Amino acid sequence: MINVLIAEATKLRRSLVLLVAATPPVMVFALGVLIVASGNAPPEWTMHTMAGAAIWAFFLLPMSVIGLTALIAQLEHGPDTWSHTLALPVPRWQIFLAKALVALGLMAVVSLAVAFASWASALVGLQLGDDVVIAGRFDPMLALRLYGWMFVAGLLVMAIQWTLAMRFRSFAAPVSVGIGGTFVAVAATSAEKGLYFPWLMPVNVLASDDGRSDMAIMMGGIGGLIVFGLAIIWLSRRDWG
Amino acid sequence: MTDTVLSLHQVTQRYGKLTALDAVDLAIPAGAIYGFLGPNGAGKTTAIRCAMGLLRPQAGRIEIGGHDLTRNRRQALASVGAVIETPALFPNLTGRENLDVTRRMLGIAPALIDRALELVDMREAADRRVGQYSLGMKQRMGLARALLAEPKLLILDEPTNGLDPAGIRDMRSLIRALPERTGATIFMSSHLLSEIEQLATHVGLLQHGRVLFDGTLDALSRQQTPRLIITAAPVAQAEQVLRSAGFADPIHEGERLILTDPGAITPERAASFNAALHEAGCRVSELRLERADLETTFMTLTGHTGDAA
Repeated sequence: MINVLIAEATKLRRSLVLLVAATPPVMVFALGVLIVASGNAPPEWTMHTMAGAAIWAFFLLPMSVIGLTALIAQLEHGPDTWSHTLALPVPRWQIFLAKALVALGLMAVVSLAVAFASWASALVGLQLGDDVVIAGRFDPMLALRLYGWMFVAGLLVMAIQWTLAMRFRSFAAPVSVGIGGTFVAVAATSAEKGLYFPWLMPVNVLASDDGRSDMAIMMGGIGGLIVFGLAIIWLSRRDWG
Repeated sequence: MTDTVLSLHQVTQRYGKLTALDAVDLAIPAGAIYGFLGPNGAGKTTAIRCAMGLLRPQAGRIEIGGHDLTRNRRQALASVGAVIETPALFPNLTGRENLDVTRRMLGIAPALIDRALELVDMREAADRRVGQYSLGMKQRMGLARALLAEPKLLILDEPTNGLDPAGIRDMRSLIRALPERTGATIFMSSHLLSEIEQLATHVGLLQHGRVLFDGTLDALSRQQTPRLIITAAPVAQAEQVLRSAGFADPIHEGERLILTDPGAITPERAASFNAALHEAGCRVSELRLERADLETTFMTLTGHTGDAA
């Protein structure tokens, strides 16, 4: 299984996947620097951390999931290497599990990079701005906890997007579903039933109501693992002709 | 008894109402170069995909190296290398990295990469990105990847598709040399009848999902009636000689007369016709016994008048 995982990770070399993975932290950093340097920084470090996490949860996380899962799947769809990969004497579930782990690993790295970029942007912004002050101290544990729980709550969205990207050769299906999901999430942020909407689960981690936050983490995490598991079984068993 | 590397037993594959493979039986003997022919849509690629475990047939059984593909997929596919349709490689990786991805998945020794590159003469280009390769180089690298695990059976789906004449010639030489260099049996489909004729020892003909022929190339050519072709002048007098020898209706083809009576066409009879024509004062410029080439045989068996792809 380790060999299959390394093989799947090797496929990312020099690919667009890595370029897209670098985009969210760069954007968060650039935006953060501009906001802080222009004197519009949140008054406290906690608020700055929460603001960065909110941008991530609302827009960048779902967009990154769309882009990364689609591009990872296109590594096989594009040159049509499925026939080769799936005809190897390797259990298919291992191949799909490795692909899922690579996608999840990449999303975890991007999440951490965004958290780091959010903090770093404030530091740079403070240096560049005149008389800009952010009160209090940066709490790294808060940042790690927020981004970590958002990753867990986002597992269901990741599983849905990954399954669609693997199944369909065209970008159209996963991208349409992803854009639609993100739009509904933005439009229905505070809706009561939004708690059950996969694209809102990472956002709900920021809810002041602990019950709503816990529920989002539990449903997103458990739901994501279930969907990943079922998708791996289904993709492994279906005909690839 | 010849060992069979790959066998299909009554394999049936349907897509809705379309029957792509209809109770197909094939046996690929060890050491053969097996040419798999059929018109477009005959079911060749479907059969290959079934043999690679990419499609599960609705009925029938496939065995590779004695292993049932359904029950024992991993052991069955462990002895197979394949290039299916286009040589699908990862364009962002180098040739060597492409082989390394497959090597890792198969869990085999790194040294086998250089051996495979050597076999297809691609060592020098191995560290270049595949995206910069020509189609011929991609075909070679695809072949190297298929040879990586030292397979007993090599499945090649249209291996010369899209290559220029020089590339086709190179690929043909490479394929011809493989059984001796690697010990692999080769099962290849091609739309080029001449290619199969030059390379194959055995042939399978498929049409509408049914096997029309499965056997040696010699056995296939023996199915065709030999023809005696005579070019003599004056042609009317030559025809008269042939009629008096018992041929009521020789076929006219320009200045040629063609005899197709299977009972009469032997080398001895040909020699006696030649003597008779000379005695009658005919000038014989051509007299030859011809067996049908693969294309003619193919067309006859399939009742097809177009391309034999």
